[in-house]
Amino acid sequence: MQNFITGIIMLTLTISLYSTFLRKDKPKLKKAINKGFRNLIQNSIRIFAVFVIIGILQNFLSKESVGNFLLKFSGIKGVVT
Amino acid sequence: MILNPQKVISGLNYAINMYVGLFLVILSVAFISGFISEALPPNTVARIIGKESGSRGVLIGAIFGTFMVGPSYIFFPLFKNLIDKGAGINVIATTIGAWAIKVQWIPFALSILGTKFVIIFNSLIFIYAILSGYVVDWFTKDKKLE
Repeated sequence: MQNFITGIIMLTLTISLYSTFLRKDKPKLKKAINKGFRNLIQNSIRIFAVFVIIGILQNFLSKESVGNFLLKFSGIKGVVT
Repeated sequence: MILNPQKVISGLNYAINMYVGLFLVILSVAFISGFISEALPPNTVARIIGKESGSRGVLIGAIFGTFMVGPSYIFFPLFKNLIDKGAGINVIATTIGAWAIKVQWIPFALSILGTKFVIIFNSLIFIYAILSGYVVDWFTKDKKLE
């Protein structure tokens, strides 16, 4: 939910930035939109790949096993771990 | 995947859910990057948050990072774009460091962890963010990010 609200706020900001651009310089607006699309595709591929790795790691490392592992350490060793 | 397809499918589901949940932020960041690369001239970026901006730029970065919400990794491409446009590496490092302060969660943290803990912890993060900016800048002096 928090990400959704953040997204809505950021999208509003983006639209307002682009609308000011629309009034001033249309050719630049087109270029900015094209760059935006290119960025979206590039970023999406990278971010999705990272999410897949996190998702798979989360499934292979259960909360219990991580908790039990961390319980073995204390003091400075625990902080470093 | 061959050994445990169920876990891989559940990992993929997690990735899809995360991506869908963050889609609006990802979309906004991509288009803001496009806007910055077309609308903001490099000298403006350099003047506000470039190396010449000095401690004022670092402070802007620290305050911006403190008040930003959402995961910082989504903004990494935007930061790269800003660095290419002339932003100081120290400012960007400070921003990412200060991102660890979650302003929106402070009231919640105060009620659970206590005032003393929250104030000391967040102040240390803020100081660390500024220091990390200077240290990163020192190590990357005269070098451009790959």
